[in-house]
Amino acid sequence: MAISVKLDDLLHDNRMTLTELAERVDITLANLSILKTGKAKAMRFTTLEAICRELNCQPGDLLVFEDAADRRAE
Amino acid sequence: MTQTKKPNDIILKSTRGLLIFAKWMLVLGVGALAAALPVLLFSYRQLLAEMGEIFVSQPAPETVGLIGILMFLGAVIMLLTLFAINRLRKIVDSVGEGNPFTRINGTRLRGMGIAVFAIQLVTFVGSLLATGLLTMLGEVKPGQDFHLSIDGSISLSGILLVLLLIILARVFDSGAKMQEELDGIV
Repeated sequence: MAISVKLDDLLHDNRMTLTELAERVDITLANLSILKTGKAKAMRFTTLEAICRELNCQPGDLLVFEDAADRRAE
Repeated sequence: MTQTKKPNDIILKSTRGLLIFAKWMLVLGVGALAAALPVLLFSYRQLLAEMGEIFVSQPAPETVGLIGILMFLGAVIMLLTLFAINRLRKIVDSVGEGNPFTRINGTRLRGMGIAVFAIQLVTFVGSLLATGLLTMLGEVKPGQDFHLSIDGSISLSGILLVLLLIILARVFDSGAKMQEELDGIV
């Protein structure tokens, strides 16, 4: 998928574990893992809002558009 | 995934119990008919003699063949009902597990619709044959208690049931698609 989720980087920057974030945003660890590994098909605004609130970031910091053609050129 | 029904739901439990009971009754019925068919084959002379005491004219040997075909059609109807009941039981189980909107349930409903349609057809053919049998047997001797009424019409409720099952199968297909989309949302 061209949209990649930078949850790993944000967790590292905030020195937070996935389990801790799951408890804070009230989302199951399984669902957060799906999001982290890029297997999610869609994301609720409420989930995005909760993650951004807990990780002190903007939606653009979490979700990045990476064009497949650009990636191939690199 | 959301749990829509509790596994211990009384309606689901009683439905499951009723379906299991119906299944074993049908198995028993098919077994009884399967056992009766060879008996009919070997004791047709005795049966003809006993029928001769009830009807004015002596029944032809072909009537026993016709009775055999009717019994076979009865067994086919029971097997088709068993097929539909087994599928319904699996759907009820999936409702109990909280995940009824799956593609397999759509296929099961479609199968049930086809089975009910086949039951309607076999019942219609059977009623035509039974009418023919009654015509062949003719008048009943005075003082003999024998009465058999046959309804040879096509059942409107049966056709509606077939349509309902086919439409429900499509509803489940759409539900399965929506469920698949929902499963990927975080």
